[in-house]
Amino acid sequence: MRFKKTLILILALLPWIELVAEDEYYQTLFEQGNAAYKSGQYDSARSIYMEIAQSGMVSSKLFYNIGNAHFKGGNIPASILYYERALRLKPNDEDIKYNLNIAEGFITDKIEPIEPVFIAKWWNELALNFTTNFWAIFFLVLMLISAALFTVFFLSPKRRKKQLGLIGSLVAMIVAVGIFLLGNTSLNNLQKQEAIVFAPSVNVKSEPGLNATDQFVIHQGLKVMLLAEDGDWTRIKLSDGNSGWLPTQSIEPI
Amino acid sequence: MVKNSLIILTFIFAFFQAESQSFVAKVSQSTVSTQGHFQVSFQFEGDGSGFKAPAFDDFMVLSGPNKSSSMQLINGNFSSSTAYSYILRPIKTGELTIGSASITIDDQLVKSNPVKIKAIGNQQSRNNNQQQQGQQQKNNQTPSDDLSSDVFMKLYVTKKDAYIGEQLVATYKLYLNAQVVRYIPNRPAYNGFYNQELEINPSQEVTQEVINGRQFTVATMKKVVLTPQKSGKLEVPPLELEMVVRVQDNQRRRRSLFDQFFGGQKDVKIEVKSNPELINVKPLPSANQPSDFIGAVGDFSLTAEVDRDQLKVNEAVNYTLTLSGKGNIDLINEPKVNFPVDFESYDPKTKQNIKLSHAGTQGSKSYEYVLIPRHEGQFDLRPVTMSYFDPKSKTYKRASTKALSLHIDQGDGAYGNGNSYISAPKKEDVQIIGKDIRYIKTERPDLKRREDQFFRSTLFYILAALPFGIMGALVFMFSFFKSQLSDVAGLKRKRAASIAKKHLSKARKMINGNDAEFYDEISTALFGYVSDKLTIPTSELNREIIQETLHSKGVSDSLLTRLNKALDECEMIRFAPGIVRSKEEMLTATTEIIESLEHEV
Repeated sequence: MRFKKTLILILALLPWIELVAEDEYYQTLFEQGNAAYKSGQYDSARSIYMEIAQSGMVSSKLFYNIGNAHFKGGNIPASILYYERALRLKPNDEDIKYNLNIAEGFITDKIEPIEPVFIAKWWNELALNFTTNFWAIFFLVLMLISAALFTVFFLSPKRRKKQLGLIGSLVAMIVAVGIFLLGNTSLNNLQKQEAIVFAPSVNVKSEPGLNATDQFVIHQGLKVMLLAEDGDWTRIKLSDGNSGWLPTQSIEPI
Repeated sequence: MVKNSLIILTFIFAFFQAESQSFVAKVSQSTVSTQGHFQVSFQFEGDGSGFKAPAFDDFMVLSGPNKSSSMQLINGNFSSSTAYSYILRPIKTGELTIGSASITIDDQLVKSNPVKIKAIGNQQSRNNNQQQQGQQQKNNQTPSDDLSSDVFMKLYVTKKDAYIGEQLVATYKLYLNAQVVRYIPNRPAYNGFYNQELEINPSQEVTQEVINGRQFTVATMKKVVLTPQKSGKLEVPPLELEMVVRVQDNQRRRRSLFDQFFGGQKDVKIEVKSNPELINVKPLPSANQPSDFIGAVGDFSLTAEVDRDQLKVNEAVNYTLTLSGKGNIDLINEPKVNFPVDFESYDPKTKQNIKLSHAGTQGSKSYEYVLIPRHEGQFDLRPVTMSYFDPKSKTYKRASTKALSLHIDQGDGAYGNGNSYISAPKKEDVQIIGKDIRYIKTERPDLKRREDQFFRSTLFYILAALPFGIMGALVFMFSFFKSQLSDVAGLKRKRAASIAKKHLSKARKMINGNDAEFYDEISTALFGYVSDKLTIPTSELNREIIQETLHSKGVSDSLLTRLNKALDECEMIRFAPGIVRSKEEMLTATTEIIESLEHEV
């Protein structure tokens, strides 16, 4: 009977132990990659990092390091892709922004993005300053406060307490709505349909198909927004507002 | 002595033969050392064509064939004679034979006489030469236009083995025992060599030399510095001279006293050709070839200097790199120089001071760079290195400058202020050269499984709604308990029957005991039940109130009568025991009354 209980306990703990062991394994791999990078073996550093990434693990630091290894190996589009991925997980990281800026200095296309209105820019910056999870938890906390204050309003026999409870509950609810919208912006940024051009030079067509009219030419490393897909063709939009169709294989989604 | 007379006889014989034959082979000396050389000439009168030299198997051809021809008009008689001559060196000792040469004169194939030569070792030759000298003098009367012993050319090279890029000097020397009227040299093509001709004036480069007892004027005709460009056997080609020389006309001198007095002379046109030389060119060793080797072969040194080592931002400084040495210096590209990125550098101004001498090229090349520092600070100009191959030690060596350091002070004013003539570096240049990406992140990567976003997930919405759910539940429960707490009477009413039953069961236990206690218990059960049921406190309860209240609640009269009877009996038993029903009957009746009341109220 006792044996059976121990067995059940071990079986229950097994997934957790496995997780810890796996964590340690990837941590060791990550350190190996760092060592390879430090000694200038950027190719082997990259393949070690990629082993972690291919296991389904995500981390802004991991993606940042992969971007660095690609950059040192001369693969600018891939480095941009990974800096962008890292930036999605940590939108306010100075190092990622800095290196992305340098990598973007190497690409051919210089596109002036449309400046958003001041308030929208401010809103975006605020939303991206924190992770989506932060906003989510903030929202939940506010909901909790609002509900608690409403309970006070309901149950307190004293008039003054009732008033304060109602007002506080309403204020918390309004703030929560704002936080929800910020979280929404942050989530949209995270799930933005964007891609990096990998083909050295791509003709962007007016419609899907090789025979369509060429509209403009973009080069590797450029970030494009994805709008729609039709077979092997993807409709993209540039940050300056131009849009067109290009072969799906010439881009890599972020 | 006998040998000597034999030689003389041979010569006389040869002379006579020459008279009788139209195509004669002659040698300048019949005994020659293997270190010396002699001339053989094939001479004929008239027009000849298709000259074919014998195979000089036992000899080395130092020069030739040199063709000389002379024409004379004597007393209206035109005569011409032509001679092909070679300068030969025996390659073995002993009796050697020069075979017959052939030529076609007037459609007739004519062959020359074979000539025997005695080749001896080095020591004996001198005496023999002197003896021969005497004989030559005797034979000088020979009417000969063969000048190949008087005029010949030799090629000297300083090295026969060289590495690619290792310089050697080829010198063509003309040996003359005649007066030169004019000459035209050809231009040899130096295949496989980079050639630089030393400028010489043959008339000034003249020395006197005695060869085999004869006085020769030696003129250096051409001197070329050759730098082999490829490996293998490379031929240094011969130099050919077409020249006209003035010689004593022996025949005329004999004929006329007048001529003898004024010196009878004639001009002879001859072609002189030097020997070629083969150079064995070795490739540079590929093992251990340094990375900064730029093809320099010789002996070199590098120096670098700056005209000042303390300056301000945006001021110019001259950096001079000087490469000096001996070797193929003019074929070397400039050594690679890396300046700090914060320095703007311009293409260097190159100055060359290279001299071509008998020892090859030597001198210096200097590269003057103008540098403009764009930032203040202490900057080290790293040493410039260049590797070269030293053919003497057959190894690669490295020349290096010293490291220089420059101290750049903060400039006057802001960047570019007042220095509008200095163009700001392009934005792209700064990005590409001046910046590098930041280093990787080495702290724990806080790896996470790729997962769906929590925000706006089902769980998220559930968690958002949960506080309000809890709140609702709380409020509901609170109000429920509150109403429950306020309804004590209802509770009592509900519990009336069960309390009454408790009293009754207590009474049942006392059925064989004291009568008074039993009936007390029955009375308490009935009064308590009615009190609870009608929510009237026991203190305010009396028979009339019970009657009225129960009646108004619609309780039947028969039940009321039974209740009254039971209550009466409970009161009476204290004063008159025996007139009431038995305890058993009483208990059953009370139970029935309570059950009936429970139904009707």
